[in-house]
Amino acid sequence: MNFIALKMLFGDRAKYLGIVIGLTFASLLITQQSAIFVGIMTRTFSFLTDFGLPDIWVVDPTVQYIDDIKPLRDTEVLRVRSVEGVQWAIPLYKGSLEAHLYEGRYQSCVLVGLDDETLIGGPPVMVEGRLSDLRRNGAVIVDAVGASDKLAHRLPDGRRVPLRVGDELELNDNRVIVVGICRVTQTFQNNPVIYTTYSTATLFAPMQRNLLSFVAAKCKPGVDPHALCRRIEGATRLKAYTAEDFEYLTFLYYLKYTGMPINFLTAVMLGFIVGITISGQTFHNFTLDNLRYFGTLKAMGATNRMLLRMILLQALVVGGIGYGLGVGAASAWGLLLSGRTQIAFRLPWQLLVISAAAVLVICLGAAALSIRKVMKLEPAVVFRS
Amino acid sequence: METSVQPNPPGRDIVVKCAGLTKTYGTGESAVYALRGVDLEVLAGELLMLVGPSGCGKTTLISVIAGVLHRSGGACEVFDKDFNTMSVDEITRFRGVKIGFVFQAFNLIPALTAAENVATPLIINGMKPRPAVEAAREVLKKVGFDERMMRSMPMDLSGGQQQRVAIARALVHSPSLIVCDEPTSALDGETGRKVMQLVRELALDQNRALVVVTHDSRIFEFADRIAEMEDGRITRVSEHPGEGAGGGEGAGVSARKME
Repeated sequence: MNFIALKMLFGDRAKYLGIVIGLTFASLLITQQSAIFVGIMTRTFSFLTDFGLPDIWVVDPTVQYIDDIKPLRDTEVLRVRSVEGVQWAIPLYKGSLEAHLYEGRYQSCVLVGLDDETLIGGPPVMVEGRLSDLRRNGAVIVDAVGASDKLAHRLPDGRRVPLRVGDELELNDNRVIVVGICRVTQTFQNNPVIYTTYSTATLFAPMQRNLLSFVAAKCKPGVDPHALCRRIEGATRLKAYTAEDFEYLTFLYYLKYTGMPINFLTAVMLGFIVGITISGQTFHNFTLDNLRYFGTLKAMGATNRMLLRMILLQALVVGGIGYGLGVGAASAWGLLLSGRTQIAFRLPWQLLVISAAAVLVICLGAAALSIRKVMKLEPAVVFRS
Repeated sequence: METSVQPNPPGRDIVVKCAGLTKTYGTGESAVYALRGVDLEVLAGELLMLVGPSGCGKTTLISVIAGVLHRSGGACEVFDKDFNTMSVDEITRFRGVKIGFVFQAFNLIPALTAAENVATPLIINGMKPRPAVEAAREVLKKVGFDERMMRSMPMDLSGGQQQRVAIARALVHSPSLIVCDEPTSALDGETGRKVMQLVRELALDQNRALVVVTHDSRIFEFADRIAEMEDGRITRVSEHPGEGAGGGEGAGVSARKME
């Protein structure tokens, strides 16, 4: 019966294409919008994922997300180090400051000050130069995207000359030299990221009483990070998060205080509704058009179970094709633009599963309407002209 | 009204046996009595035509005989099976094996070639598509199809050719009973005659029974017996009415009609 089901499906080319196009569009919209949403949300805590090494982040108790910097006293590093179960703890500076560029422009940058001794938390990938070069006086490492885009020197004819190793720029009236180019995950604001040492960063940073942004700590082997967080909180009266909890806190903040989830959810729902209306309706019409032939098959001995399998097969085939084309188009779109633009696009396997589930729901919904008609169909209909 | 009861000829099986058969659509004051007590026997190897004006119950009667419609009352056995005591799936499978259909509008699936359409009953009965199509081609040869026509889609065939495909489809799985609903109404007179000749030649050669619903008087000659219906009843049964039937030995001797 699969043979007949597929022949019937592919035989009505107009409806088959209508269903597949509808499902492709739905799958594309659902996958692409979800991937952009995940990409953007991942950027909100990219600083944490790039950092990698520490298990625990100690911050002011009122901090709501990673960029909500509430400076701590420098002595907090020592207090954290003194808590039992802490293997090491380092100071970190993270702040925003203006870079003064060649042509007189100012550009906001994210300045990261790493622990002078260990340089823990350095950029994940060095494109040019070495991390240890940061120990040189006034040395900075700039992220590759920032160097070739926002920090690039703009010529009068509009061309951009990327910032290179050896170039100089001004950070808050301090002259610094670029000693390396690195690759980092883009930030939410998409500002260039500049790495230097903690001591240099505190020199460049605007004057204020406290400058320590975070204390990053590592658990001793065998120590439960959550239990250690509670001990650090007890000892310091600060807030301690595991890296995952801090990512989640940041993620929740953006979910709650920005309109992004609603916007993206609307787009995803639109995809779903388009899928249901176009594909579901066309599939239903396809079944209605073939009702006479389903009745004929029933009269000739096809059981309801056979016809059910035929309709499910037809729904799953168009679903599979539409899903494949939609996900393929979304991936191609992401790959194409990711290489050329700063678009946030992240397509983890979970999204593929969610998209497949959405397309499956559309197909089964469409099939359910059709199945009901066919199951209730009296074979005697074949004798009505 | 006349009543004729005649004994069954020796060696001829009764394929369909209806007694006091009724069928009512709806209930209460809006009830429509489509069949009002039909008594009928159909024998193996005979072609029985059901004739009568529109709305007299012909199509309802073959629908009940073919097991696509449940009766409201009376008795009806097809190959000694009472459909009212069988499950829907059992009836469906029974139809798939024992009964062949020829429809007024042909009902060929437009997406399938002629050969694939003919193969459909075999595929329904579990045969793989490739051998089923091969078997279908053999039957299509018997109805005069060449290779090109076998590969044609229904829309590329004339009405007569489509009906020949439908006949081949009704025969391909060797059913013991074939029901035809107005098989010539969509065809011109000459094509209708050819189709009926084909039906007689191919359908009756294996001692099958044929029940043909028609109001096309031009094909009455192909019947062994003609049962006339009016207002849900069989009012007259006449035997071997014309020359075209040829009438096998003992054909139509078991005509029975009761009021």
